Amino acid sequence: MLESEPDESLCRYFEDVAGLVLPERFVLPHHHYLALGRSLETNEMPDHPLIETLKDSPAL
Amino acid sequence: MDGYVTDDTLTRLARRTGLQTLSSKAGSFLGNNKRELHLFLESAGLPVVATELATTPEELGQALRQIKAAGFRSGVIKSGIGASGIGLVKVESLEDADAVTREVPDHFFFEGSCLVQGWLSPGSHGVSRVRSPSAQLFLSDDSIMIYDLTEQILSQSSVHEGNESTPPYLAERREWREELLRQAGVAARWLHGQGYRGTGSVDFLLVELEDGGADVYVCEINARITGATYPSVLARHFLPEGSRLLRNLRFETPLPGEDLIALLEKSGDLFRPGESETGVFPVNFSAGADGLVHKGQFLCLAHSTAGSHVLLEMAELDLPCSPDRH
Repeated sequence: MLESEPDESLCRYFEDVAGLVLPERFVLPHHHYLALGRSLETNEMPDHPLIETLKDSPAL
Repeated sequence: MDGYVTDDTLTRLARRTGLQTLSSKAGSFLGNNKRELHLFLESAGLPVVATELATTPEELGQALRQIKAAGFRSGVIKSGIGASGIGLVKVESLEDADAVTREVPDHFFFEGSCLVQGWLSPGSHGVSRVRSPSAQLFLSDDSIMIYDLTEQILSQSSVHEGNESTPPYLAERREWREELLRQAGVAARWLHGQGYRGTGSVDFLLVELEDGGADVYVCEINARITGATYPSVLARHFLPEGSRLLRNLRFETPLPGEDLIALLEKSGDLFRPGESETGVFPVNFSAGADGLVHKGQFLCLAHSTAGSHVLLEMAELDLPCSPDRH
């Protein structure tokens, strides 16, 4: 989870030139991150796309 | 699940998705607390820099006067929790404690008492030179790994501007290396005991004395990804027996990331695994509101310390940049 989109050319360098494997990325601005935390406390936002992304993560 | 720090949001996300956080929230919070670390170091008998605690602005003035009475010309005020220069004020002169106190924001006391410490510098207290080594850590449930020793490149006010590994002076002073590792082990076990898990660092002051000796002080613990975490891991992956130097560079004329990489490639500086043994690895680009890269972090991978410094000099010549100094 990143606060803003990473630089595309830098990601291409990591993957295509350096041969690194990057994880799946999800962009969430900080104020949205804090709002998500508050909603999770009160259960106001049960279907946030980040939750589905995490549930589908191959790391699980 | 892990984050820069483990906070309420991350903890709730983990609970909702059936995952566990790597570190507990309490471990992440306590592990970053400079005051709690200082109290532990004192109780464990490790050397500490002259320190006073202040809970209120009134106590802060008194603490500054006590540090001055101990023979210091300068000092530093640290809030319990802070990072990247936030929650840290260097006091150049201790002559007017009341004026300093008026300038310190109230949030310095938000996490309880702050630390007021004497500033060790050449020319006082028998000091000839101050270095800033750091031990890089990974803590799991059942082990603590110290996987790299680095030297921090700090600004005048102690803000991180880069780092390198291994500190070249340690090759000649094995006893300093052993003392750094000993104290890093003690501090890391404290960090583990707070419930923190994940990457981190123990930062030191290595104070060389005019009589040829040295004092080693644990300065702080960063219970999070640090400025040296990715450089250390990348260097170990690509050039494990080599030297590496990470430097923050600021671009006088901001430019697209694509152009930046093209400049490195055209000049022959770019690190290309499999094609070049050494080179410059761009680690991070910071974009401004215009979408252009204003500053970046560049990792110079070489077979020797001198080689990594030459790579940095070449990159500074080939890119429209200057070192990012605070």
